[in-house]
Order: sequence, then C-alpha cells, then structure tokens
Amino acid sequence: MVACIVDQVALLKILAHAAKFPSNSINGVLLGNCTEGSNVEIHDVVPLCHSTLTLAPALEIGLAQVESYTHIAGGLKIVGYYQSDARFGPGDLSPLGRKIADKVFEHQSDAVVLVLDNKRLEQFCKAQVDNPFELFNRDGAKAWKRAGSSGAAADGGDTVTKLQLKGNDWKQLREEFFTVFKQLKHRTLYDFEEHLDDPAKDWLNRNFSAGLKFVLPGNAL
Amino acid sequence: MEIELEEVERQLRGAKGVPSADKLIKYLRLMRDLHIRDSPTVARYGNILLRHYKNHLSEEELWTVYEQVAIAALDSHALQFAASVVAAINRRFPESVRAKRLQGMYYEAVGDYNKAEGVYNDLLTQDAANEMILKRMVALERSRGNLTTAIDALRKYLDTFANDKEGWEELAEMYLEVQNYRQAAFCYEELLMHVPGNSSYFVRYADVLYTIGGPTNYKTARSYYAKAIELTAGGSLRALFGVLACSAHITDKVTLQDARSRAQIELPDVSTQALLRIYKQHAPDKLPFVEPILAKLLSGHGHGL
Repeated sequence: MVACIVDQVALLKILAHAAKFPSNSINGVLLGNCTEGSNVEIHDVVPLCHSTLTLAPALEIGLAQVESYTHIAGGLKIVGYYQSDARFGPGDLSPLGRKIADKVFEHQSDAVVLVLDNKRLEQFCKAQVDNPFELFNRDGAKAWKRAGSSGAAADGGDTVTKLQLKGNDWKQLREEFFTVFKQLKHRTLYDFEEHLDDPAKDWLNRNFSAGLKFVLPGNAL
Repeated sequence: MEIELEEVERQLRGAKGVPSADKLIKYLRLMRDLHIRDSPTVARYGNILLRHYKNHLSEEELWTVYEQVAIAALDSHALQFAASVVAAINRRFPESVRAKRLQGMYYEAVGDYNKAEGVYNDLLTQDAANEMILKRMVALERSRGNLTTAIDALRKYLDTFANDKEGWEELAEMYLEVQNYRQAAFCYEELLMHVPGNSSYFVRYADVLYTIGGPTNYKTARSYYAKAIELTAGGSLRALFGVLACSAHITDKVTLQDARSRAQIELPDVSTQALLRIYKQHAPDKLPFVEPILAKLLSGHGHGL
C-alpha cells in the first residue's frame, strides 16, 4: 500500500489560490519527495495559472522556472500537479488537466494529481466533509484514475489509496483556512501568471508561508 | 485609478463603525469604472450604502448601484440578500427588460437553469434581438456545461453584434476551454482588428499560435510577441519569454541582409538582455533560476519539459 502524505501548508496554498480566483480555473505544481516504496510526500506547492491554463507558453516557462528552482535549491522535486475548475461541478481531471499531468509524469513516474472538488469544498466549508481534495494517480494503463478506485492493481503492485494529511487534523486545516480567508491573506498569494505580469510578485510565496506563522499563533507548520 | 482604489479600500477597511458615505460611493464607482470583479466586497459595502445612505445618491446613480450590488450579491452566492435587491429593482422598474433579466440571473445563481431559461425566452418573445438576454442565454449554457451550445449561441450573436469586444473575448475563452485553438486564434484576430494597439491581445494571439505549433506559427507568433514588446516598451515578460520560446523552435538560418533581418537575428539576444535587466531589478532572487533557462533557449536546444 502506497501512501501520499501532504503538509498543511501545501493544501492551504491551494485553497488560498482557489479563494483568490473564485471564478477561474486554477492550477499549479506539487513539490515534495518520493521515498522508498513509491511513497509520495507533498511539502509545498507553486501556483501557476488562473487565466491561461490552456495556453502553452506560461505553463512551459513556469514549469521550467520551478524545475530550475528545485535543481538549485535542492531538497524538493516536482512530484505532481493540482487543478481546480471554474465550474461548480464534479471534481474530475479535465482532458487538458490530464495532458498537463502527463507532462509532469514524464519527469516523475510517481507523480500524483490533486483536484480540488468544488462541491466537496462547499461541504468542507460547512464542516460536512473532511477532505475537499481528490487524489489521482496513474494506474498501469497510462490513465489518471482516482486513487484507490481501481482496487488492487492488475499486476498486484502498489496503488496509492488516499490522501493523508500530515498530522491528520482536517478540522485544524479548515480553521486555518478560515483564518487566512477572513484576514484576506489569500490575496497575498501570487501565482506564476501574476509574476509574469508583475515580476516583483513572488511565485515562491515565501512571505505567505512566513506570514502563516503569525496568522495562526501557536502553530508550527 | 487603481491607486485611488487601493487607497479607498484601505480607508474602508480601517474605518471604525459605519464607513462614510463618500468613501463607499467612491469605492463602488471605481469598481464600476475599472471593471474589477470582487463581488463579496462590493456586496458588503453596497449593502451598507443602500441601507444607510440612499439619499446621498442621485436617482440615476442609486439604481446603477442597486444593479451593481444585485449582481455582486448573486456572484457571491448571498442569495437572500440578492433576492431582496432584485425585488427592489423590479418594483421600481416593473416593465424593464434589464430588471427582469436580474430575475433570470437569480435563478441561474440558485441553479434553477430551466426557470432562468423560461424568463429569458419570455423576454426574447417580446424582443428577439435583445443583446443582454442573448448573452444571458450563452452564459446559461456555459453554466450548464453545454459548451458546444454556448459557443453556437455566441457565434450567432456575434454575427449580428460583431463589434462586441467582450463577446469575442468570451468566445475565445470558450474555444480555448474545448481546446479548439484555431477558432480561438480567429477570435483574437477579430479583437486585434477592433482594438489595435492592445498589447495583451498581441500576446494572447501569439500564445495561441505557439500552442498550436508548427514552423509558420512559431514565426508568426514571434512577430506578434515582438510587436507586444514594442507596445510595452520592453516591459512584458510574457512577450519577452515568448520571443525566446519561439526562436528556440525556429531553425531556419537568417542571413544578414538588411535592417529587418538584423532585427530578427538580434531579437533573441535583445530579449534576453531585457529579461535579465528586469529580473535583476525586480526579482533578483529568481535570477539564478532564470539564467539557465535563458541560456538553454538562446542555444536553441529545446526548453520547457
């Protein structure tokens, strides 16, 4: 059984990205490590686009810069892709999303995809559901499937079952998200597209991550 | 105007008790003029204005604000509040198509698409060429997820109302959503005709051509990126990167014959220098990530992933 464990800060950034652009589709990359036995750890994310998801240039340059960053900074690799659709519908990975995810997969065979399901997000905000994210991974047949949906893999190998939150406290994640949202901190998160339109905007979002410590007192993220 | 907006937003956020009328009025006015979409905030401040300061506004501006707040409330899913504002508008303007369309929008917001369609069809029987309602029908289909129907409806609309810039932008977006890049390119060609000198249309058009790919498209895209660089005095990162990305795909050798070919040969270098300058000045921490990418692009050995 293969695990996919994600840090709170990574999910908070995806939620903040979605909250900043509520009427748009958004996407980004997942940063982390793949460990022994194909376990995937997601430690951070880089938000990429909110208006040109379908166009190659911003995506290519964005991916190139993030890859460059991971080579130079070390410690983290691109381990996946995330997306959230503009429409309030079921959280599926769109055909375009699959294509982009395939590109990431070319460089990381253990890559995973997180889709923020809007209906589940509504339930998450009303505390009716713990986890608004859908985890996808590649099954043997070159397709992105919901993790755990294919049951045991055909070759008896490992399949990623579900998304685990580090610390396992989804309630805390919800509260943290509400705090970030109420204090309008999601507006201080910048994606790569915003950086292209204003280079001073930091797609690494170091201020955002640092600011979380103050927004959420007594919280070691 | 953007700086004015930031200033008044800051003042409103810092206000103790109920914010003053003139700041609220100014905020809503700027939001209308700048066409910025921040519905929860507009709904909130609009609500305060309408509750406390109606008499500060002229009749005309008052109902403009009512409409602005109604749409913002619908967009923020503040349905009860939206219903009351829409009702107030319809009481004041009982015969108005513009007012009735807000009723349709309310049904859209609650997800009752059939009822919304009923409202719009009724209005269309009275006035078959009503632009506002025709566009609502497109939006309705888009919300339903029927992109093909929405695209067809919008194309038909643009046959009649070919000067509707927003219409062409919306159509381009929908074509991109279904990954019909060639049709999206056509939309941007229309926009470039209607609004020459808009650098972001040049960039978008080039982005689409680059995405389609192929030698001719890379060359055309490069010239559009180059134009965008000119229009933005070298300030557009998208255009600068775009030029380099295109150049990396173009393998033809250009011989130095005249000013034009010189410009073509020098373009990648000039763009690279411009990018390095911008990063040095505005994002020096990113320079180490960008330099290797630029080197790769310049040497033409492919790029991206």
